[in-house]
Amino acid sequence: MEAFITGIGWVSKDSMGYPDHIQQFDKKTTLPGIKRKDILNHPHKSFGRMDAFSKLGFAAIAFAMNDAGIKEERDKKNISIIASTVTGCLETDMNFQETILKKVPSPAIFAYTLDSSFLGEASIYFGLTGESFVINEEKTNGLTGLLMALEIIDSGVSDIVLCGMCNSDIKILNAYSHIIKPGSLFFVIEKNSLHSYGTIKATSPANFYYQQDIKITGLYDLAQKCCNRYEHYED
Amino acid sequence: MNPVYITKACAVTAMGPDLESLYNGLMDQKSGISKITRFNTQCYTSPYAGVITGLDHAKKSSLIFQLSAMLTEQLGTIGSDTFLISASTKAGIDLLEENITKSKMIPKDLFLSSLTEYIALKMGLNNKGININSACASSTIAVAKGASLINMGAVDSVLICCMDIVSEFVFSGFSALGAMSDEPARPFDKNRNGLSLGEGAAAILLMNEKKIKACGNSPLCRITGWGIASDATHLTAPAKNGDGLKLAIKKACKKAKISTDDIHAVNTHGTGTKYNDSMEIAVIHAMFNPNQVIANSIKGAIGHTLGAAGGIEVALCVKMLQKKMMPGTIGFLDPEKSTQKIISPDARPLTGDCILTTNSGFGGTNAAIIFKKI
Repeated sequence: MEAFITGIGWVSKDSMGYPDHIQQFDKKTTLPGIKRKDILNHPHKSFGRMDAFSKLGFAAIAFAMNDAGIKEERDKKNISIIASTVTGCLETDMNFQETILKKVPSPAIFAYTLDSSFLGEASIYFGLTGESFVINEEKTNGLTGLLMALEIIDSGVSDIVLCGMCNSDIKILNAYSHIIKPGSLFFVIEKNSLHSYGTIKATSPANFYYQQDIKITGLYDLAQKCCNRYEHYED
Repeated sequence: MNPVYITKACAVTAMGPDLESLYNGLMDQKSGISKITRFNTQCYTSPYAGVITGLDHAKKSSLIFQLSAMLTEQLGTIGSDTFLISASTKAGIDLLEENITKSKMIPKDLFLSSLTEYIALKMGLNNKGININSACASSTIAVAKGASLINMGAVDSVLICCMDIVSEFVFSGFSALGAMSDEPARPFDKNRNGLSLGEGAAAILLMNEKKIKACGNSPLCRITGWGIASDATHLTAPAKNGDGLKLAIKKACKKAKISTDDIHAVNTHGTGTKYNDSMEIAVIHAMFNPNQVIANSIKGAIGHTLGAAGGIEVALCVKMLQKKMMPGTIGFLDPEKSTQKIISPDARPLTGDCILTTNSGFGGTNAAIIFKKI
């Protein structure tokens, strides 16, 4: 199974954006507060209502779509989304739990107490009608999601898949910093493309190769290799 | 492409500790929904839910692990190379209240992957597996993805374990959204006014032919088609035109290489909310022959078990194909014109050799699976 990587988008403590449009941060201790204007060209009334986890994932999806040249329009498109996470929306769960303790459970917060809520938001905003689900793993490297993304393309279910990962950055999770990399990273993977960062293929569920023979160990490794190749051509 | 078979199907629901008690209870038109005492429901819009006898907070762990133990003890031994996919929307969320009030340290058991790891350890598997989370279609999608992995040749067998519990966290949320019925849910009934929550679990073991021969298992039925699609319309309400569900069914039929005319029975999502049930009936009228197809919902009997719903319904579909009967819809008392003939409170014989099950969820997610008798 093989496909082309046509877009990359991310939000980290260091920077956010995509290779052609990177916003660097001076303060690198926390993830940025994400504003609608940072990521979208058009107004989106739901954006302000989203929880921090959803904004984090939504932003990386929007950056990746932009990088791949997929227009910010709501006409329906057969594009699938797969996201991997360790933390999920635990921070939002805690915020909702506080409203229960105050005897006023908030329906607005409850709507975002599913790890998959941001996939729903992305599918609504961008008109994505393909498959959509979250994978929860311990120490996720995102490769199971990548295998499933390649399978979706290979089987003809969708020709384009957004595949990535999203993890919160909250203090109470510091004890798990060895298994959690806070931030979000998404790739646009396409069956056909003339302009791409290169190819990705799976030869077995455990073996993934960039540009035919460069073994990758996870999605962050893949992003690094794609960006290195991009910088090489830019130079 | 490798054919995919179901070789084991187990369930634990408010109707009883196994699949047999669920099927028999439904055939006897019983309901597992009752007033709950697990937490105070006075502030909420309903006192009802389908809870499982024997789950007890006094045991000092999340109810999800107790439920998981009840499920896995039914499974017996399975090959250690079986790939595990769990499906749960909130897993051990009942631990949150205790920890947000009593401790600043969050236990790892609050991560959804902890449930998957627990099952993997309990079953002696050589992989930690993954959890699939896509709202109320989580376990339908988990079964579909498990089937895909076998179909493409990535693995020989997949164990899907799905479960969710009735917690105050989720109960209060659905109450706040105004989605719960103040009486036990009445799917497709003219006077339906919301859902009842429930808890439950199911395990589905999928294998290819090679693995079946090696293990000496007997296949119960074949999974021939599956499809997943998004509405791309609204975060918490279904698309009124049912476009996402239609697309999921079309994909499943295409994979199974059949038309909707070949499907005579549909296990619906049937939550009991106005919008969901109207959307599903509209889809049935648009895609199937209403004089030929019969459909049911089990959520009036066991409640809406969220991430476990699809898996429990898959297990029940296996039973329906074996018994050649479709149980009636508990709580369906007063039909609308559009549901006449399609939905019934009574059990009916199955015609044809395949059955379709569908689920939809928040975020506009939809999934459909087609099973064929062997």
